[in-house]
Amino acid sequence: MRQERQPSKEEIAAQARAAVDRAIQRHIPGLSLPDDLTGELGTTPKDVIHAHGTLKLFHYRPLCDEIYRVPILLVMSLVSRPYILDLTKGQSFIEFLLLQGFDVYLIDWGVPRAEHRTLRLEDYVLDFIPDCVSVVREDAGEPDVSMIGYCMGGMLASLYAALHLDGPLKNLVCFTTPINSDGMPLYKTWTDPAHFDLDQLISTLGNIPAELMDASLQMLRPFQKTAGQLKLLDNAGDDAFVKAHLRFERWAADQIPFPGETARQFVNEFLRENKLVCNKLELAGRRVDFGQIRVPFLHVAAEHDHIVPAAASRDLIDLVGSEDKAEIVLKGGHVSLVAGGNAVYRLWPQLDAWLSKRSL
Amino acid sequence: MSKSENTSNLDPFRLWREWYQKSEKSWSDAVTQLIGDDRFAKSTGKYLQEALHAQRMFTESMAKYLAHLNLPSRSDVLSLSDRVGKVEDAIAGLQVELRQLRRTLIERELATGGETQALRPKRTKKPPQKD
Repeated sequence: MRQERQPSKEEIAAQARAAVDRAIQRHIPGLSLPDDLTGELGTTPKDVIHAHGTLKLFHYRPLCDEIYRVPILLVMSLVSRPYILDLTKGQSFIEFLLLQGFDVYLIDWGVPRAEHRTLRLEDYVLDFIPDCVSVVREDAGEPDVSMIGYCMGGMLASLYAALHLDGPLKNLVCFTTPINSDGMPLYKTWTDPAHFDLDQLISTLGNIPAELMDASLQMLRPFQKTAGQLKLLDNAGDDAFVKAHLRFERWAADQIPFPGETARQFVNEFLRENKLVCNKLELAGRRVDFGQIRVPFLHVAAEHDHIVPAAASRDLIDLVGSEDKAEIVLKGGHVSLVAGGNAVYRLWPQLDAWLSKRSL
Repeated sequence: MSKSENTSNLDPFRLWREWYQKSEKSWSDAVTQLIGDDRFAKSTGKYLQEALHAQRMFTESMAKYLAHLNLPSRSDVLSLSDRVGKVEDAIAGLQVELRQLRRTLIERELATGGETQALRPKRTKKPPQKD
């Protein structure tokens, strides 16, 4: 009688490896690497049309044969990556705009290096954004531009609008824009000059590290991350949920440093002295008065935003001097407002309806 | 009943997870009440100050030690990262130049009656009419 041969250790290892590979190929959520599950993010086809230091101005290739006359310039926050606006096909604000027939440009500030610690709000508002606006006008061949700012990008866009009254701005849209630091009591307390030595922090570190930015955001809602992980565990069998969740997680973990001098201005002049809401901020000797803004203005806020609470942003609509102004307040949080289901089904269509008739 | 429902009913931690998710906001609010307090801010500020001081001292001594072992320090790695960043920026600049060059060539060809297709879609779109 023939005896069966015992498999060698190498054969057992090969069989185990093959079984794991098969499981991964079957796309069992949880076995693939998170990066494989999320895929590449921010992949809507685009070209760099202007570069200055870490700044890159992208033009997204139109997806329609006929587009609205006025191009849109998206202004991102200085402390987060822009691909939250272009997560993936079907979950991309930029793709949505392109499909509706808009011509879309985006300012990506990039990751500041040690040499960029001296950049100030003046550099962004009076130099970089106007440069980008000029390039957009030239590239599109149009005299005016609409601007959409998200979070701190909304602050930069509204500062630009207030200081370029004769400029080529056609429409201004601000998403969850911090304007009144009294609505951000936690940040205000943590950065109180009585116990927070901002100057020492900046002189030691140069730029505020991404880890510190991330930690302060986590502290605003300490248990949210764990709750999110548990929700992920409960929905581990739902491939679409797992992928969408991991995309958000990947973006949220991908913070970027805050340029030192801009951070100093942000803390001193906005958080501590709250100069924006009382129109007292001065950039290069020019006072910022939002009441002077006359272009059509749309403000979007989220009811449950814990990063920029509605109380911190709601004053902007009253401050802006435009006659044609509107506000949309939706349920949801700071990020789901621009990239969640709430955004896809509620915000984006409303924004399209508002902007399309003002983009002719 | 589906297999997944059967499995989830057997999960002893399911109720706890559901309770945690539902009460997360209240817990977070309670903790932020505590950490929004001046005493917390004061102790965090002090901790941050000490951490910065320690980091400065540790970085200096560690850099000397690593140099002695012929190993790169964190600042060496960061300066390398900075240089890679500069190379990336330079490549972006070249991309812009190339794109402009290509565009100029196409426009020149269009101007001389070449058969190159128009560069961009028409900017004549109107919003859809509502009924």
